[in-house]
Amino acid sequence: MSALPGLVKRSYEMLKAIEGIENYTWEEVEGLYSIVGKDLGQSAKALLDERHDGAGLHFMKVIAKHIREAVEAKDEGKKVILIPFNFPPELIHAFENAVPLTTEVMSTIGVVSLEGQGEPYWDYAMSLGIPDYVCSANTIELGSALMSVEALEFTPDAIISGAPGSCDVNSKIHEFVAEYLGIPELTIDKTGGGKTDYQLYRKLFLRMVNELEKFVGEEIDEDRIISVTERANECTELYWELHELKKHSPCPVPNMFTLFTYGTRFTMWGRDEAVSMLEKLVDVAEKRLRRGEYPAEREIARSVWVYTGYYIDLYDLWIWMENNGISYLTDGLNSFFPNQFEIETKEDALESIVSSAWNYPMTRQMGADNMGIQWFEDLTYLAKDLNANCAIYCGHHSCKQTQSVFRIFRDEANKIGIPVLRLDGDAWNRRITPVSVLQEMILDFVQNVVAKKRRRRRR
Amino acid sequence: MSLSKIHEIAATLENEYVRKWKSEGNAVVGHACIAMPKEMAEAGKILPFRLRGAGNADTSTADSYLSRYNCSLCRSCLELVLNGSYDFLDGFVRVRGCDHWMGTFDEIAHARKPEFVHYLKVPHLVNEDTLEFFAGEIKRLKEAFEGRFGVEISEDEIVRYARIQDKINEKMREFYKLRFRKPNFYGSDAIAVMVARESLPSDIFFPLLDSAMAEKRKIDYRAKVLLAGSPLDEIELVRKIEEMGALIVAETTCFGGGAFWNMVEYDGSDVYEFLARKYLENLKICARMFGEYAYRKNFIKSMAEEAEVDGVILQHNKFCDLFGIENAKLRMDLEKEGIPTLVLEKEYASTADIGRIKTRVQAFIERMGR
Repeated sequence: MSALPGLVKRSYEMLKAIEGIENYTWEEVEGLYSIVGKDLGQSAKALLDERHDGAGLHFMKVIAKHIREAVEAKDEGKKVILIPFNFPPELIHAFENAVPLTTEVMSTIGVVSLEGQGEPYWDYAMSLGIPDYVCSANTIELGSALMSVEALEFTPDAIISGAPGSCDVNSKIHEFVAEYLGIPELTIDKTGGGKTDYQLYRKLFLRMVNELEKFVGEEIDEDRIISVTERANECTELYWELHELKKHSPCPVPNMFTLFTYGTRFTMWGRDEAVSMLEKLVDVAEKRLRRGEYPAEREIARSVWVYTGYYIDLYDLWIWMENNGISYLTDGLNSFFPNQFEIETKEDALESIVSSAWNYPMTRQMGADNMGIQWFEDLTYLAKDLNANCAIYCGHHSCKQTQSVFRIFRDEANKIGIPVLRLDGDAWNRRITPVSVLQEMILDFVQNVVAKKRRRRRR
Repeated sequence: MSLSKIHEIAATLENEYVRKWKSEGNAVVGHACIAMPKEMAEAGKILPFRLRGAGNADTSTADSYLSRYNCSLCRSCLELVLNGSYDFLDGFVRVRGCDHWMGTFDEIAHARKPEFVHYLKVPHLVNEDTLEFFAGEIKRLKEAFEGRFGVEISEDEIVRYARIQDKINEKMREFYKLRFRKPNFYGSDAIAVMVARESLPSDIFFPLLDSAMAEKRKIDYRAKVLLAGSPLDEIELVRKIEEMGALIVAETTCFGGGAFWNMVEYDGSDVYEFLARKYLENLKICARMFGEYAYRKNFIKSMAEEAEVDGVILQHNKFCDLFGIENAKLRMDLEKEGIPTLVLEKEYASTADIGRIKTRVQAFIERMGR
């Protein structure tokens, strides 16, 4: 159908240019906006916002490298493994001859950096008969991957499916693509949150590692995996430092730092690039704290987004919230509760990766014995820890698991005095609910529920 | 006579046999998946009763618990739980099926706080690790039943009921074959039989099925069709499709042949390992099992050939991710092999959908050249 190149190919070309940028002025960003048009311009304005002090550019360079390594891997005789966001990329980084490419990160990059966002790729998937209620987070990238049969896109060599037990739609769309493209799929499964569930998960994970070693044609080298997991430990330390900084009120950590954190987690964790990214985030936030800087004059709401954020317009949502006194403290995708591990052997390193995978966002909550309760416990723990005064749920129509237990979450949150806003809209597809409507609903909630509650408490 | 009795049972939730069963001091537990080991429950005098929507299209209260983005069959069942229609149940087994069902059971626990809800964890993969795990899960279910209902479930009794299930499965296959070449029953009869099986003690169901099989009907039709896809207990919908001339002669769904056609018989091995293998292997007919797409495609193809059908209807409820995505691939592959295929997306028991469905079925019959 369309002769438009695939998402990865287009992103690769575009982000190559970003890797060369060093310093920029706000005037240049404004100028860029007028050249590249609104879709990309809004993202550029958000990412390069002066409050980020260069962290947005740093982040884009990290992502650019993630994509470049995948695209160029073929020429270097390496295998490209498509992984879902809920799978630790450090396992793939431990291979000399394999590189990861993360489905949902690619969809997000398509949405924030390409003219027409992810729409052409979504439409391609729909044209094959895939129903319109599947998840745009993966279907945009996977729709693009399907175009590889027409040589319009880059083809991954294998797919890892990490969502059985925590998200049917994610697992199923990955399976569809593996079947359609005729490439191998390696699958793990989470049956619940108990001890025997962990034992099974671990066995299946290690079985998958074994299959991956055979597929890549390389046994993971002990020194290399130890080095990767040591970097992961450093990332973890920095993650918690940033978390601590978010506890300050007003919050000195810009809203988008949450997105930068998990964007890094899902792609480069265990690499020097991730360590330097997180160091940058902590450094900028510490400086802001010392200078007493907060994005808005007054912090009205300290929000925890209990699942995903919206990526259809970074400027008019993430930056707009800052401008309106709404702190975005963290969200469900950032709730991976990383741990540091003692690593001395390859086995230790693998065990640490299994444990990280088990605690991944969505896997941890939706793969629990009771989805609603685990979700509530994790997110309200974060809300309390970060002194949040409200919670917001981006009601993406594809998230059947969270949608099905949202009532449990809301009832339990209300019991402990956390008001919850439920939005309706697709986080990766602007056709569903326009940004202006989302802004209206968020502002209405913050001004009439959160701010009033705060005033009542003061009286 | 027996066939009309079966239809009557299928149209009722708490049927007369369930009432009798309970009056004798026995328990009834609700579940929603064919991975539920029936013989385990019956060996402890616990009737496994499969939740169904019974044609209920009103989901107004359930929608305030689940969302409009969840499967309408689940919402229908939740509505019936919330309005008390399932109050005869003594508890629930939350058999791991799909995300929609998991949320439904979590909401049941949240809203109704039943005294017994046990989570039977069913893996999404079949290999030696998952089979070993599932055997352990079945033992855990046994212990939960014993603890909650004060019964003792012996291995001998499990084996006895396993052999009864084998006999029923064999009889069901015979019944299905009566629909293949020269059909003697409607698809709506077959769905009613399956629904009745999921709602009755096995010693009641077996003779009822046996005598119903003698009540052969004279059937007129234009085309023979196989029905595949997501769980479907909508007898009325099937009746409407058949009124158009598309006779359903086989189903691979879990309210159809998928529930028993490939089920293995007891082979004298360790009873828990056997049950794990029996139920997990059979579950490969469900789109929730990963890495088994080829198995399902071949199952549909072989049953279509055996039943000599003119085409296949792949149906699913709106928002069913598993079958919604799978049906897109199946349609491509079956059509490629020359099997006319219709993908039908619908809402559970929605009368508003009937006109649209009739038009599509009519067009499909024309496409099959009938």
